[in-house]
Amino acid sequence: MDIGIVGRNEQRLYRAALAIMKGRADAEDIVQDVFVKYMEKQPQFESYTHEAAWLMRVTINCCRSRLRSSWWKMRVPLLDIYPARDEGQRDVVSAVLSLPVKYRMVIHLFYYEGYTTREISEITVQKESTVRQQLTRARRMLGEELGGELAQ
Amino acid sequence: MKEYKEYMDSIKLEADVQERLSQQATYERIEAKRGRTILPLLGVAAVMALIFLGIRTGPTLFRQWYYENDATSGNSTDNPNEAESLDEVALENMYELTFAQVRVNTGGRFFRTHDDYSIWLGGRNVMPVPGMTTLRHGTALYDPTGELIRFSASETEQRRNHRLRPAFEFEYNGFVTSYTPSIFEIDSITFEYVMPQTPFEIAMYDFRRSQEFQAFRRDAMILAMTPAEITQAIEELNAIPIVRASDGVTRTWNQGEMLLFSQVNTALEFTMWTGERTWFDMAFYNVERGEQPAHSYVQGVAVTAWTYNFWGELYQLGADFMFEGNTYAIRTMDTREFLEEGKQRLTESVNRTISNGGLDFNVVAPQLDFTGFRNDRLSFEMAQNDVQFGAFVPSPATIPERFSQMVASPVDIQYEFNPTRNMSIPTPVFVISRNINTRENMLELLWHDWPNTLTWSIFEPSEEELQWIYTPNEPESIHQWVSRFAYQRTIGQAATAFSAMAFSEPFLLVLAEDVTLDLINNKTNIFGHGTNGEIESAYTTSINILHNDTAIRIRSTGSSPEEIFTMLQSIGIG
Repeated sequence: MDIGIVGRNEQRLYRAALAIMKGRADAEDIVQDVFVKYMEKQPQFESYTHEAAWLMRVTINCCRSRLRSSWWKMRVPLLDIYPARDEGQRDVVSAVLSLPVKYRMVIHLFYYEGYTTREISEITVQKESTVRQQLTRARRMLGEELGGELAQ
Repeated sequence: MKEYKEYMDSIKLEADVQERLSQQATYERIEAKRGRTILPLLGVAAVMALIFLGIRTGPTLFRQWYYENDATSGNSTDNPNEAESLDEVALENMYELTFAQVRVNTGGRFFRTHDDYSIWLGGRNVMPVPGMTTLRHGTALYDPTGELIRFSASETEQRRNHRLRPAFEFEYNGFVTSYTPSIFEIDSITFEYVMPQTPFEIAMYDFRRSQEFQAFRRDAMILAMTPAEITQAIEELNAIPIVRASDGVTRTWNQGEMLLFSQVNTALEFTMWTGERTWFDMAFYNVERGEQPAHSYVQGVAVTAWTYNFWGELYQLGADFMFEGNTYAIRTMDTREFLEEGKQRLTESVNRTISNGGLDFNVVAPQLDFTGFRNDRLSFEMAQNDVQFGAFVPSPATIPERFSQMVASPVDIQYEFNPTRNMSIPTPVFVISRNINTRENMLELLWHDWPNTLTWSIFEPSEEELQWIYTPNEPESIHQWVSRFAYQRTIGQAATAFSAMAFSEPFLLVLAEDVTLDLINNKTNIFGHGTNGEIESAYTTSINILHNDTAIRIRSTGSSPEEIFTMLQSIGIG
C-alpha cells in the first residue's frame, strides 16, 4: 500500500465519518475499514483528486453499512464528539449533527469538503437532483434551527 | 457554516489511531512482498509533519507572484502571517471602500495563464524621455500582423534580498516566462539581437507615464463595501457555477506614507468543476487621500473614475466600468505636470472602448473548452505510470540524495518567514503536478529544499518552441545578444556561446542526442546569491532537451552536473 495515502486522507475521512456517525469510536473504525478495503482492492488512481473521491465514497458506504446493521439499530446512539469552541460554534455544530443522516452527509460534503452537487451525487450514488433537493431541505432545516446564522 | 468548518478543522484523529493506521499500512507492505523498496517511515513522518505544521493548500505561489509584480505595493510584507493579521486590522477599519473588482483568471500556476481572460494594451502614449533617472524596461508584444497586443513594465524589486533587480518578461504567442539575470548592466543592453526572427520587440519607456488597459470577462462581479459584505461575498463565491471548491483566501493590505493610499487585496483560490485551479483577485482601494471617485455616465454606461497620488509627483488614474457583460479597468499613470493630459487620455480611452462596442473576447481570449483539462497533484508512482510522460520520469535511484527521501505531496509549495534570515523561504516539499490546459500539457516534478531546488518538467513543446532547436555550433545572433550580459563565470571558465546562451534562455531546445556531460557542465554555473550580506555558492543548471516530440526542462540549484546527467541517463538520454 502506498503509505502516503494514509497521511493524505486519514483526517478528512475521519471528519466525514464523525459527521455521519456522530461518534469517535465508530468514526475511527470506519477509517480503518476504509483503508482495509483500499488494501483489498488496490485500485490505481490517476490523481490525488481521484484517490480522494474514491476513498470518500468508500467511507460513505462504510458508514451506511454500519448504520443499516441490525447491531446499530438496536443500540442507543451516543453523541460522542469533540467539544465546541464556544456557544456559537456549538449551536451550528449541534444543528448540523441533529439533521437526519442523509442531510448532514450532503451538508458535510458540500460545505466542508467542498464537493459540487454533481460530485456528491457520484460519491453517494444518487441522482444529482436528489442531492440538490437534500441540500435545499438541509439548508432550510438549518435555517429554521439557526435563524439568520446560516448565512454567516 | 464558518463555525462548522472551523470545528471540523480542529478535529484531529487521535495519535494512537494514526499510528495504528501507519502500522497497518507498513505491515501490509511487508506482507505483499512486492520487492519494492520500502519507503522509510521517515517519509510518513515528513508528510505528517507537513500536515500538522499547518501546511495547507492555498494561494502562496500566487501571493508570491503578486508581491513581485505589484508596482503599487511598496511596503507589503513577505510574511504571510503578518500580512493576514494586518489585513484583519484593515478590514476592521475600512470605511471608505470605493469599489471592488473581481478578476477571474483561469489556468495553472504563476502568471503563465494570467492572460486567459484579460489583455493588456498600451504603449501608445509611452515614449522615452531624455534625462529621466528612473527608466525602466518594458516589453512590447506584437502579433504576426504587427498589431500591438501587449506592453508591460517588468522591472521589479526583489523583496527577498531587498535590492533592485531588473527582470524581463518574454511573451510569445501566449507563452510567458520571466528572465532575471544575476548581474545586469542596464545601459549596455540593446535588444536588436533578441529573437530577430520573431515578431517580438522590446522597447524602453518611461514607467511614470504608462498606460494599462485591462478587460475582464465577467465571470464574477462582487461589489462589497464593508467588511461584512466582503465576508458575505466570499461565502457566495461558492455558489458560482464554475467553482467547485474554495481552497484558501489570502488577504494582503498595503498602506504606507510613501503610497498615500491603502489597498486591500483578497485573492481567493478556487478549484473549478473541471479540476482547474483559478483565483479571484479582489482589490479594494481606499483612495481617501486622492480625489474622490467621480461617478458619471458615458454613452449610457456608468463609469467610476478616480485618481490617487503617490511618491509626490506621481499620479495613478483609473476608470472602471462594466459593459456588455465584461468589466473594464483602465489605468494610466502620469506625473503632476501631465495630470490633466492623463485625465483626457483616460476619458478618450473610455469613450473609444464604448463606441467600438467593447472588446471581442472571442478574439483575444477564446471561450475555453475545459474538456480533458487537468491540474492534479500526483504521487511518484502515479507519475511513473503516466501514459504520455511516465517514461521521462527519472529513476528513483538516481534522484540526488538531498531529495531522495522526500515523498510527493498533494500540497503545493508554501513559504514561511525565517526570522534569522529576515525573509520568507519555502518549506521543503516535493510536488508532482500534471497539468493539461490551453497553454501546456506537462508533468512536472519539483523538489524544493531551500536553497536546493530541482524542477524536472516534461511537456509537449509548442510549434513555436520547436523552432528554437539549436546545436552547440550555431547561433551567432544569440551569441551577440548574450555577450551583452555580464554572466558569472561558468565552470571551467570555458563558456561557449551556446552554453552562455542557454544559461537562462527558456526557448532553446537541445536535441537529446547532443546531450553529454560536457554540455551539462557548460550549462551549469556557480551562482552566488546574497542573503543578508552572505554569499553562498551553488551549482545552477538550466537546460531544455528535446527527445522526439517530448521536451524536458530542467532547472536546478544545488545539484551537480554529474547528478543531473545521471538522472538523464536513467531515462535513456546521454
